[in-house]
Amino acid sequence: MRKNNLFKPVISAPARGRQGLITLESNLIQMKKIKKYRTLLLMLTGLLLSSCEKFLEENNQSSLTEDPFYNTEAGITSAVNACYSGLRLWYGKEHGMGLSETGTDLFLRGGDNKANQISDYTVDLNGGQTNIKDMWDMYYRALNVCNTALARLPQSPLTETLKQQYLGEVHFLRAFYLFQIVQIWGGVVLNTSPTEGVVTTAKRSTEEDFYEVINSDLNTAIKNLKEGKSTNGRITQDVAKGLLARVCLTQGSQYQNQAKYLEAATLAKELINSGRYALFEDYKSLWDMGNAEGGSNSEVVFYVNYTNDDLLNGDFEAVAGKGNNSHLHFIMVYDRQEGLERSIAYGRPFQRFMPSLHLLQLFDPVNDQRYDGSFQTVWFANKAGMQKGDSQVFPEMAFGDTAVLTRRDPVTIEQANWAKSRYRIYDRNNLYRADGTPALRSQFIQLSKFMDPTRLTVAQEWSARDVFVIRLAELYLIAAEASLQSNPTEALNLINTLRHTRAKVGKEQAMEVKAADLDIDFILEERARELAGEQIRWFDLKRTHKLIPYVQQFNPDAKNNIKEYHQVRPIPQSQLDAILNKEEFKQNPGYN
Amino acid sequence: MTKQALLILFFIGVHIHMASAQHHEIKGTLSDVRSKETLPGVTVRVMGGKESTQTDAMGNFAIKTNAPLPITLQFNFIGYQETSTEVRSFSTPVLVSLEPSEEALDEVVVVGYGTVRKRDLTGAVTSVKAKDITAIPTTNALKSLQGKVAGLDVTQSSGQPGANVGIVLRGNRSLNADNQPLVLVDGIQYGSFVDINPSDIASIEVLKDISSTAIYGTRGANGVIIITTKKGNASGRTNVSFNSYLSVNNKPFYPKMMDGPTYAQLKREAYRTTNNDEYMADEDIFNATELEYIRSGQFVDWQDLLFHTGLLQNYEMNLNGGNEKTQFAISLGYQYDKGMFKNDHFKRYNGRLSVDHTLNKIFKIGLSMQYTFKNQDKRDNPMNMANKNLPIAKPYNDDGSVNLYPAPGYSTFISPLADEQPGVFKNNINDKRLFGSGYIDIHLHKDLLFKSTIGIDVQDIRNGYFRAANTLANVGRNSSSGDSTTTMVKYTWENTLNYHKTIGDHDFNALAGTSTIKSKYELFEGYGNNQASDLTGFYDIGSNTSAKDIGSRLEEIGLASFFGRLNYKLKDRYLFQASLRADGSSVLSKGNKWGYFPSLAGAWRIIDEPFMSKEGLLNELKLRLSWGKAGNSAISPYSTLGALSKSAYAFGSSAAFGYWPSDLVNPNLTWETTATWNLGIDFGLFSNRISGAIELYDSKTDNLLLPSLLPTSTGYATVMQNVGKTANKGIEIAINTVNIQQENWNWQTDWSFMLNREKIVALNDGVTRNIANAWIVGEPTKIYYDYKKIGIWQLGEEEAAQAFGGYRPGDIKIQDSNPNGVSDPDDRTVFSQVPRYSFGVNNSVSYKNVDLTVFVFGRIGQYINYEYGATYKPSALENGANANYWTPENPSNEFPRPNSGYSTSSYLFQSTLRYVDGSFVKIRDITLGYTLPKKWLERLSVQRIRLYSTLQNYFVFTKVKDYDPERGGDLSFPLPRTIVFGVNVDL
Repeated sequence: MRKNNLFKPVISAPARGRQGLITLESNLIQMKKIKKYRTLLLMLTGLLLSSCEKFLEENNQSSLTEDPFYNTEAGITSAVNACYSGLRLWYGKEHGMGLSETGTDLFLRGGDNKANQISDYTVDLNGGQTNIKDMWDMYYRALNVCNTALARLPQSPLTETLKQQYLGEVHFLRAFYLFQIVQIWGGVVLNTSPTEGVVTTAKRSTEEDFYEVINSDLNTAIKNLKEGKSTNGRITQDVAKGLLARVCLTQGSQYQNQAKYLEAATLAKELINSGRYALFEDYKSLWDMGNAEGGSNSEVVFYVNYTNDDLLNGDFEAVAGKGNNSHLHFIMVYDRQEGLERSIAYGRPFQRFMPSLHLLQLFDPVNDQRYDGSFQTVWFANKAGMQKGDSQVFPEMAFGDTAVLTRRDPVTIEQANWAKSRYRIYDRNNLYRADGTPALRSQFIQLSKFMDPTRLTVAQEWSARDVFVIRLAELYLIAAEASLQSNPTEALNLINTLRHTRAKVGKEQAMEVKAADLDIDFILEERARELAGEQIRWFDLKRTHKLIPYVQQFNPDAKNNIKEYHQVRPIPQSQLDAILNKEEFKQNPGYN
Repeated sequence: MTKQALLILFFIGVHIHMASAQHHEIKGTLSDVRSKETLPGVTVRVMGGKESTQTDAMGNFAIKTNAPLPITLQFNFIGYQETSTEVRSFSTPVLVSLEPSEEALDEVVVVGYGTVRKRDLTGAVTSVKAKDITAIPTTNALKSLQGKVAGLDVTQSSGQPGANVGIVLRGNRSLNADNQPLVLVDGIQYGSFVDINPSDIASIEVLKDISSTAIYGTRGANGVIIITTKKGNASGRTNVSFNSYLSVNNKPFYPKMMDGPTYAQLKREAYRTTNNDEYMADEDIFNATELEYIRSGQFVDWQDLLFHTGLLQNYEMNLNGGNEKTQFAISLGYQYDKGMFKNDHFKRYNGRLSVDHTLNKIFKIGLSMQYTFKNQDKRDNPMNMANKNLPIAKPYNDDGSVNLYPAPGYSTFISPLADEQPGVFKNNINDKRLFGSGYIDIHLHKDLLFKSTIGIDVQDIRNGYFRAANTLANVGRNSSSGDSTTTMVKYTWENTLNYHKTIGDHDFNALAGTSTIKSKYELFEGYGNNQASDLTGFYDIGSNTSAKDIGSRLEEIGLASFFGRLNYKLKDRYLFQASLRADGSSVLSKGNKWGYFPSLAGAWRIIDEPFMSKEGLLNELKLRLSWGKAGNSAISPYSTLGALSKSAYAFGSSAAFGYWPSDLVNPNLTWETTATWNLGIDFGLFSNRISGAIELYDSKTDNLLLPSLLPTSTGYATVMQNVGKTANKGIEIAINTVNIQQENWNWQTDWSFMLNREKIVALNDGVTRNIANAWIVGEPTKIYYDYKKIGIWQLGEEEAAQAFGGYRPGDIKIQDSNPNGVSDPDDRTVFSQVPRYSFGVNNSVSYKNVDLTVFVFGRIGQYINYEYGATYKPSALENGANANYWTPENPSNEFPRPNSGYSTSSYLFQSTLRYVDGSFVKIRDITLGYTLPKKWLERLSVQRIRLYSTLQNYFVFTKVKDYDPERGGDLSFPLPRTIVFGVNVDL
């Protein structure tokens, strides 16, 4: 039976029982079989075609999509959570820090600053700068996420209470992002609804339009949210009032708008008098890691939350290794000094930002706690087992002894002689030239507010420190500035209340300021003493129209570079490249 | 039953009867006229009779005949001229030498879903045969195509063991998608990392024009490379061959960084610049330990400590045999590549089995399976740290252990040797792949063949890593460890029906088929930081205490296709081909899933016209013209569905993860299509002493799937759209010249030349440049867009420098590309990364038993992003390039003035130091081989032993000093210079 097939090469078909005919009719049979195959093939093809549709269908099991996820409670909650993530793009991050603190009168570029365009207004500060582009991209992303959440929230399956709360929070966040955008770039693109479909044009709105939306959003937030201090980083009514106070002060000072000044003063005083907040008696301990939790720090109104769980510290990307990085940026290179090695307590010396001589000179270290509370000026030898005589340079130095001392003022010959065999001194004359230009950029008097000795390893870049965006002290300063013209007495009282608290014990009297001395320059000086490094200086100078004169006067690196047009930042070239209406939407004037 | 038994008996009877009649036997041996090597597999036929046989593996044959003397025997063998000889005696063995056929027109070339004689080709196809693939040892068979196939740009991108090659055919078309050609092994998609032993490969065909690739539809736009593996043979004899080589990998061309004294001087200059041109005291810029090191000459050259001599061993064993019904081939391979860096190892084991069986005149089945196991210890690149770490340093402690922070006071500069400490670093990749296919051929009719092929490809990759705290990756942070498992399963099912018919002068060939490809990719991973102990490697990632996370992912892609092709040949000299393929892809959205890809081609064998004479100057002339369209669904799966990305926040210490819209949905995405015209001429001159082909092509790609730029004020940076257009046109010339052809001497040269011009024709509406991706309309797809350094501002140019943008002498001077007298972003200019042309010249010389090949390869006119230039650190915060920098005393125009006020990465126009002309000509390899004389081997019953040695990457001619620019500018894993010793044995 089988053998047959060796000679008669056709497919074996035992069921047919027609073996006998094979020899002579093989051709015929083959033809018939071909027909059979043809039918079979046709059937196969048909089968293939009908199953194609299903075969080519896509079902993404690895990621979520807006529909249907945002129609669920978990989904809309996640959209609201995402609105918060944008807060972390600026606060506690290098570029946000550079854009708000350098290029002002207070901070200069340190030895390893990566953005001298920002710090010095160099010729290549233009639309090609990636750090400014990144900020633009991220704030507009945050804005679109808020707009998406606001569009989705009304139809979401939430309880009315929760819906109102979420709406309040997201309105606040949208106002915050718009406020940042308008301060940084001026009247640029104002979107209030989510982007749908391909949009290839951009339209400018005026700064007034921006402030209108910001005010209305913040008032909605105030209406929707419950009063009280934020204890977990969620936005509360207090937070919204605090930000609105800052917004109104900005409008008041930038556009000389008395009504806004009044509103700012009212809001700030409301919070000052709420009893929910209190100034620290000890300014230095305000910055202790023990008080780094904004929810329990009595001075903090609005803060950006970071945690000890690094997986929760991301932003729009939920990856580990982000967190608050501000502890890195102000640290000088101490670890190449005799007797010192890198340690968790002294941190990682990224040397991005160093204080200007002007900033240091604003302080009265004798009476004001805030000089010692803000700067580190001494380092102790930490090289394990260091004995006297180990160092050829400083033979007297042993473990635990002073290793480096930085001094704002020139040291005396006696001090210098005493230190000669004991430790390194960097004084006024070592650190700065006569005109205030840094002589060294790797060694300086370092801002110590953000240091974090609780990190697990010396190399760890992230910190759990919350970023204090609005503190009670700022509300005093807002209220004082806002009342300066309408009620100078009250302004004086507010300033002196703050200064009393910041005085060293028994020096309250010496700290008091007289009515005659209280003007906008004094307020800006006081803001520098209180808020140095807290990511607000550039905006303060801008809104008070002091950016150009102050930089020309106090920033030796940037004084010859800064121009009138630098009061807004350049719009990223990539934005300008991507739009069709290039004639309508142009670069901010002055930038090439 | 009985009838059949009788029939059998009858046939056996006939057979016996016939055998008894054939009482004369003719014996003989066939060999190559030049090499004298015997030729197995030659068909021997008695003219005027039916008897035929084939030569065995030794080239011997024996044929029985009952024809009377003299008998004419005819010999046919692919690649040789048909020869006949007259036999006048049965007793004398017939010794015949065959002349290789110069035109090789009867050579069979593999094309999509079939084969065709070379003379009948209508498209642009280059075929590379086994001999050329194994002539030079390679770890990836595709590397053997470098410089041998005009139009194919093959570059080695890294010298790390296990690294892949980059392949681009006829320029880049796609901006978003991969431009790598489709690589098929026996018809099934394989990928460009070819793990198949070169000695298992029968031929590699490169399908270049779209009329050849359109039958592959959406997968064919970037060209198709078809690898055909060796099958068993039907001679009845089992052939065994053994190929092995040892490759000694020596220190590569690598540029030096500054040594201790040079670096110290840089630092002095850097501080001098910021100290009003006064040198500062050494005590003020170096710390005490550094001063001591400088005094005592405690310097280190990190490169010397890192580079070792690597060794690659490769063994391949092949067996093939069978009879007329069943043929088999078995092969085994082992490769162990010990890289130039310590603990950087790659091992590969593979086995292959191929069986073909003819059941009867209708059915033939076959199976071929390959299993590959790769085990790689992949080291992190130490060169970045080695190049920036200071030379004033102490690499080892007094007890011989690695000094972790060797440069005094530089505590971010961990030793580049850190990962060489015992137990601190593991990064192990286990890659298992089963790749195989089975087919059934059904000869439904003598003119009709149905073939069904099923291919499977299952790959599992496990990548486990552990990096202790003190490693290059962690630099004192917590340890990190993780493990990921990727599983890829892919199946292909293809059915074809082939009809062939010749009626007089008309020859028809029709093909119809279906194809279904489904691939599934699954990932699972887990990782974390701060593992309990270093002792457990990556097998205890659960003991991590921070940033512990897991992830998983699934991706599925389906492709369904129908295709057909018609070939028509008139009078053996007018050739036509038309094909159409319809592809449906799952990654595109509903309504856009299907694409249709046609092609048309014609060829005219002018030489075969009656008015042409083959005797004269010209002995081959053929003109080909083709047009076709192919596609690319160059987006990842689920791209048309939109997606939410995960964000992080926390309220108090509770997680507040969010999901936010990260992709703007575009449901209208459709196929990216490339249409190509190809004009080709095949020619042969002077009895084919000069032969070759010239191809001209012009291809246009439109509906480019492009992440087109959006104004980011929308909240999105890009949206995927079918918007862009690119164009490629070029010339390819491939010429073979037989320079010397004598009894003992033979010298042939293969010349290949290619010139391709690619450009972006359009981006999305109104957008002429996309800086983020460096896409500019009118420019090639791969460019650098940046300022161009034209020198250094010199003393005496203060005013001009100030006016141009506030520069000072010693700063980089850039070209004022838009001559407006000031530096601005429009001064940026284009540096093309694609070569203007490239060429290969392969010389093969043989003299008696000695063979020599010299392969020269050149790539001219491309800029590379040369990392070395940017390692120069004027701040002296790190070590870097040993640069001729500017000082007031040294008015160099090469590198800017040192300046301690700069940071490591931020000084004006630093990036301009990176772009250098990366043109090069290299003698990629020189191979000298010696085949042992036959008489020595006969006693060992060994057919052939060839010993050879190769030098690779030894001679590079380029403007870039101490560097092999084939790498493209990277300093991480340089290409070793290798000396290879190898042996080929045929039993």
